[in-house]
Amino acid sequence: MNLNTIKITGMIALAVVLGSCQKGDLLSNPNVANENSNVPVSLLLNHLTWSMYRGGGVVEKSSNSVGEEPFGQVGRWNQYTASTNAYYRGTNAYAFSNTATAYDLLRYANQMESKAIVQLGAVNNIYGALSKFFKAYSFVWLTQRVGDIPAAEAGNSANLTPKFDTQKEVYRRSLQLLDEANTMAGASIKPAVGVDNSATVVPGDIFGLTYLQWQKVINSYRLRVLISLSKRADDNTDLNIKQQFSDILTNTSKYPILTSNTDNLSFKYNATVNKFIYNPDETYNLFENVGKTYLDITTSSMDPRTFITSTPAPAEIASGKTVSDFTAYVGSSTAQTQSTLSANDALGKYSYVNYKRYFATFIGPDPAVIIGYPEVCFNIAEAINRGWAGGSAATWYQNGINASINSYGLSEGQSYDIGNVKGVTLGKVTISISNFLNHPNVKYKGDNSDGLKQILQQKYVAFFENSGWEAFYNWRRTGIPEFANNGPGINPSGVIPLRWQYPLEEQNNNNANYKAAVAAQYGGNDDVNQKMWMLK
Amino acid sequence: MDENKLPIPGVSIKIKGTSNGMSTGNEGTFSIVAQKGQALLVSSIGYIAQEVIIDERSTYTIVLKNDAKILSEVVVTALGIKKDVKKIGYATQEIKGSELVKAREPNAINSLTGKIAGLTVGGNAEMLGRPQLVLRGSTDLLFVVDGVPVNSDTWNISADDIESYTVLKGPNAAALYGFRGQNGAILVTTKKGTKDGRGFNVDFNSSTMFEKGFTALPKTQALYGYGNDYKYAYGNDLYDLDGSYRRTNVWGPKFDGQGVAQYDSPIDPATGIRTKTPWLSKGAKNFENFMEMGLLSTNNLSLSASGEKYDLRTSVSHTYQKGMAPNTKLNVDNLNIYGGYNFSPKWRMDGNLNFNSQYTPNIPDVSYGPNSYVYQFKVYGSASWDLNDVRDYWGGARGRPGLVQNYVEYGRHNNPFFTANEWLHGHQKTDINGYAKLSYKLNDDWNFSLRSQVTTWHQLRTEKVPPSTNLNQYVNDYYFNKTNGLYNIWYGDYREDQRSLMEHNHDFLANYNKKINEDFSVSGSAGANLRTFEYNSTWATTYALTLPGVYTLGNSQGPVKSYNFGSKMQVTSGYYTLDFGIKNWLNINTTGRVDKLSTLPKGHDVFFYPSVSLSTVISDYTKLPEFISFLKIRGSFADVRGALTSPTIGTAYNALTGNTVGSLLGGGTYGGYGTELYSSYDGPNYDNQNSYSVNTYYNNTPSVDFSKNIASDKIKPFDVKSYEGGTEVKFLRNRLGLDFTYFTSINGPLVFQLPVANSTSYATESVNAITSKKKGWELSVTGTPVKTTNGFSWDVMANLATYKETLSKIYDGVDGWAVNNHNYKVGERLDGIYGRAYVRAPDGQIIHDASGLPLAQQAGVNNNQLLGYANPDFVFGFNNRFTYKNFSFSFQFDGRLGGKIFDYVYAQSMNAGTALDLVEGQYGDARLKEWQSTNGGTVNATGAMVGNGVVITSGTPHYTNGKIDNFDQLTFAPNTKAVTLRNYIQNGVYGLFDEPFMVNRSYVKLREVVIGYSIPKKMLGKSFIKSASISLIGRNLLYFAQRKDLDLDQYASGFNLSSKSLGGKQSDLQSSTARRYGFNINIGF
Repeated sequence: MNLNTIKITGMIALAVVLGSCQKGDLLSNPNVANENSNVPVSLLLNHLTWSMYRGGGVVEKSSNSVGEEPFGQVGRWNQYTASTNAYYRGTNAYAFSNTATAYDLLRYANQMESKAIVQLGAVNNIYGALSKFFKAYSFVWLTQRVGDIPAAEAGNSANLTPKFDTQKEVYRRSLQLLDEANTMAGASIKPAVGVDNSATVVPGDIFGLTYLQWQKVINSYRLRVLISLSKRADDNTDLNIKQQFSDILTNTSKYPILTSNTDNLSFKYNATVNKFIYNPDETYNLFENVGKTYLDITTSSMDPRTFITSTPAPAEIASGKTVSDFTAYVGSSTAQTQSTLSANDALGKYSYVNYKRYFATFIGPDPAVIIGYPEVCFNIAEAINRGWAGGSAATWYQNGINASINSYGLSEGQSYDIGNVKGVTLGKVTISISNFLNHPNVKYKGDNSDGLKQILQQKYVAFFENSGWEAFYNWRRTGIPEFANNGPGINPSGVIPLRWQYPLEEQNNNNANYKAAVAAQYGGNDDVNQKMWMLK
Repeated sequence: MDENKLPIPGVSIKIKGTSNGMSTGNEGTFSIVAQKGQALLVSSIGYIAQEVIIDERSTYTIVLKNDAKILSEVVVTALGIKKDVKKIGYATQEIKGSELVKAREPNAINSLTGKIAGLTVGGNAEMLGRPQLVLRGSTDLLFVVDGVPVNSDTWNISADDIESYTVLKGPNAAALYGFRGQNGAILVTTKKGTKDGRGFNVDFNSSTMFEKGFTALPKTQALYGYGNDYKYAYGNDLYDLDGSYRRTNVWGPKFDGQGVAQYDSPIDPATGIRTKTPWLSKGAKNFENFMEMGLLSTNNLSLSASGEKYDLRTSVSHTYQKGMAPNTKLNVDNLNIYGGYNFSPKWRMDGNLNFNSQYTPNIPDVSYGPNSYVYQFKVYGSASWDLNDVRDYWGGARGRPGLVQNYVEYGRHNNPFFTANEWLHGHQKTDINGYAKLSYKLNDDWNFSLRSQVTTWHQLRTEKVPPSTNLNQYVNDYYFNKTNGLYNIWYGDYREDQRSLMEHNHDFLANYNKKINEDFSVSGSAGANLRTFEYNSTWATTYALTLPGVYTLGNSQGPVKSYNFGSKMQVTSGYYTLDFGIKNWLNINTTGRVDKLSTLPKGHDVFFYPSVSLSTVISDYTKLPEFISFLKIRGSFADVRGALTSPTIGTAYNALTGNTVGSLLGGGTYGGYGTELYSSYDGPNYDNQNSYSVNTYYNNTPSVDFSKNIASDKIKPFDVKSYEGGTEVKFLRNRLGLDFTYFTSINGPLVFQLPVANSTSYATESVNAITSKKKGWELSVTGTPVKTTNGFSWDVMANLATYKETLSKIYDGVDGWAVNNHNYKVGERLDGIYGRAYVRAPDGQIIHDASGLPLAQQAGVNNNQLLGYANPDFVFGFNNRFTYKNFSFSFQFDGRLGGKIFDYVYAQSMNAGTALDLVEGQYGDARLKEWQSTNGGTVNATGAMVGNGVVITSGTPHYTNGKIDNFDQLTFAPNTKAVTLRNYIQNGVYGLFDEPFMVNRSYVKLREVVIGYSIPKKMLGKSFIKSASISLIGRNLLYFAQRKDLDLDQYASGFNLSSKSLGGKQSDLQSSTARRYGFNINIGF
């Protein structure tokens, strides 16, 4: 090999090597968009609304997150159903431990807020209003589970050890955010003379609400938050709880609220992607009974919703009862162990979830309500009953019941097929709404504790498999209706816990602040049976 | 020449007492001027030195004998540099390729099982399953072929082309490969041209093995069939759509011949009601009858040649495997070409190309779900039907050709013949790697080389899901129901997974080797490398097809869901290695490497890592007792860095979103379906970025996901520091050898996504955190206990290894790391399995609640109990070889001792009612009693299961960390409450606990037996056949374990720090494994 060949070979080799050098940005992930890129705010709202439907921490797969869809674990903790098979239908026990959080909503809301200003060129826009709403929603979601939480310093990637705010302060801040959200939503509906966005559907929203409907949701949610503080309304006058409630009621043009079921914040199922939780493919309903807490109320008041939600207990029918006999509908008690329930269920003692209604289609019978009109009515009725505002509690109580009945599409004299656990028709009943409304248990007993109990009971019935944790929180606040409790099925200690423990990540990574908060509230013991400020 | 009459190049020839000398050439010849009476000193590494006295002859043929004192004199080390084994200061172990080509495994790497101390091979019994390699607890090993890293799924390594495997056991050995070698490397040296005196050589090697006779098989009962609470009836509808026991477990009535409405019971035309026919066990052996004999056939033909200036080798292999599951097979073609040419004594060019092609129309999918045969036959298998009734899978009363399968059950699973012949999982992969190298030898001291190498592969996996496939809700769009009297039939799905990878390595290497004088030697190399990397993948599904039976993406009913992922990376490196030798007293080896990595932020992207090792051969300069013939001690230190790359990658969907394809296809109540396939990758993982990715959640509307990790531009490379010491001793004239290594490594801080307080609204932040410490040792013993003069010898090789990994640091100010169901604290073993345990009385009895079920453990991470450790205490291999004249006999036992695993098959079959345990002992008695109480299934059962244990009769238990701490306030009495067995198992034992299914991880296998006979040379005479041998072979012949329902072999890894996963905690469903036996023929021409 002579010198020239060597030179040539060497140069070719060098060319090959240099030619294969890669140029440009190899650091950034080419498959995604950068944090600072112009991600349309509608996509962020899409994610936020989806996360809200799924429940705190579910989309982010936070540990111990629990789906808030109908007929899930939350429904069992609300005692609407009870499972007899741990594998297929889950457990009933209140195994509360370290909570998940909904702080992911806060992260997305922060992103949406800042991007909205850039993209829409106006500070007052509907996405800004919704950002404030979701921030408040995220704080309230967590504070009512644990007590004090970081709020003022939360949601900042530059501060990894945010200080805790007291629960009272968290509520003050959240109510303030909701007030601002309402103001901003109002401004975005009529941003200029002659422009009216009232009927415009907010792009990206999976619930399909208009600008105005969202404003109604914001204020209706604020009513929910205010009434949830009923135990501390009297001794914390600086929060103006009663006043705020009454202001909203008396100025509905400034604070529009839901006026019918069509305004509901609800998730609509579809046959292709988001099928109803139950559908014709699901056959495990034989392990799911309707809860005693629910059926005891409906059957003792001739409530036609009994027939809608439940099937008659097989043993009762076998013993000769007709399908229209309310005593044929028997609920199972969460206080009993799954073993006992399973043994009784094998004997046909309990009612099942109505197959005909809930398992027959892919889109399901109803949308999943998250904030609904019946609840608004009952919240107002409760506030009036408590003397927070003027008006007729009886009327709002009646409105709430009617709204719930309407949502099931029931009408007086309607003939309704009753099926068994597999949907095989057993017989017919005639729906009587009047018998129900005239039942002494249902006729409003006045603005006293009996009346309050009726409001809360009917609210519980209206919450059947919707509105997430509300049924549980209402029971926790008022003790109404009486939940199955103090039994071996509840959990190893036998008592329904009143709160969750703080997340492990908060304990591990924000330890000093966590310890201080637990010391200040619970004597240093992050225990699930202790009472937080709002329950005292 | 050597004892086989082959020439030895490079032999040193010296005239005694003078400095005159030279070396033999390539053909082993030499010429030297010497006088009669002078003595020639003839010596070469690996041979016993000789003195030849010069007489009248002018030519001498000198035969050098192998020096048994040194067993394997030269080993291949990093960068393919060969080194004298005496001078190495770290642990390596070599195994000859020829030892592994007889008792074949479909995958060459599976053959390494039990042969290397410290290397655990989790042999994967699945077709195209990748064996899990664990070296000192790490699973991410680098494969290096002829000095260049290749990207390998291990299936593209052709056993017949391998001269030797060398395992570099830790970063000390692999420091020169940079971060890819952080856990050690497997170096493969391929065969080159022949040394045969004729100048050419032809070799034919053929193995044929059959697979039959299960060694690990779930045991199921055949006394009770489908149903719930001893009741069962197939509905009146053709497809059981109206039945109450659709998708039922196997808790039904006993097979007593009583009347039960079954799939083949006739419907009374008058009433439309299905009549009852005798309920009998018809298919207790359905699974065994369904499975077929497997076949593994490998054939290799190689031709090599060499001449004065060239050496060449070409080799063609074909592997055909027929699986035990019907209609599964795999073909692998491999072509290997090597050529080297010496232009001049100084210039040499050589190159190698390996082409590998894998193709199959169908391999089984074994993960939990209606796709798995074990799920169909074992977990939810009822003996109530006969396999022969469903052989015609489109036929029968219920079948609709091409549209609806004929089966006995339409709720949970599929006709197995339908699965086998219609639901096909195709695989095609092409792997190419090769290099071209130019070397220049300046003089005896210096040589240089320039090399360009490429490794690339392309893979296509397809899944054809036929109409009416029952996906048991694992896919949302599955439905099989009736609306308005018409059956809705899902027309199936088509899924496609394409991946391709291209990697180039260009390197330059300068070597220097100088013996300064008798006492000092210096050698060293310096080099530079440019590595460029590109990867692209797509994954797509139709969800639902428009036309049945047409498997294309275009035939999609709705929009095709399609995902892409691509990545690029570049690494530029410079490195050196420098060795000093001072007599035999001390050898010092140092290495250093600088990398510039494109995956790290500027300012932190250049980093250096050093290693140093020392060794000394004490026996060379110290008088030791007679029985010690060799003693060497060694020690080394290495520091390896790297960052933000991932050793493996899943589907494009997984790479993009972090979710598995199963969660996309399932995501329903019962989790995902199908196996996420991980390929070897070694590319960027983009873990440290705040970004948005596209997604869709609601009704195909667009949505985004925003990172939940806080990225950082201050990330530094991770750091692995490894210390190692060891000794090699040989006793009794090398009849017994012992090699011991102790190692410890500090792994971290990693580039880690450290959990942050939830209130930051983020989940993690990228920091340098989490450090673990590994400690362990490896011992290998080789010996020849018997060696007689008549040709009989018995050779033994045994090895034993152990290690433990503990958490040594988390992060400043953070005192717990919550992962894998436990909040780990510093000092705890990271392979601890935590979960739900029974609550026990002081005497150890299980506490039951008032309803008769075992009392549930309190919920929450802090209440989880330690259930055992995932890593075995010891991994061992024990190999014996007997030779007598032309016969040889060898066998190997290997296994692992200690550790626990959650037996998923056991747990699921207990829940489903099929486990054999449920008809034996106390469970069996209770079940029979309950069945008898039902009066032939007509009345409700009376519970007869009284759990062994106690109940609390007074006092309320108080718990700390899930354990009762107030026993003094409690009184106990025996449990007397009877419940039904199903209730006890499903809602109690299975529903509430992990503990009952934690089984011992120990096992021992009789891995291989080879009986060989090589035909004596004289019998072959002057025929064209030069050598021939035949062997009878068997693999996996015996299996010993606590529960033989799963083959523990493939669960080699417990905790793996790089993925932070305790993947070895739980088994999955797996194909039942069987014995393999056959014969091997090896002929040389």
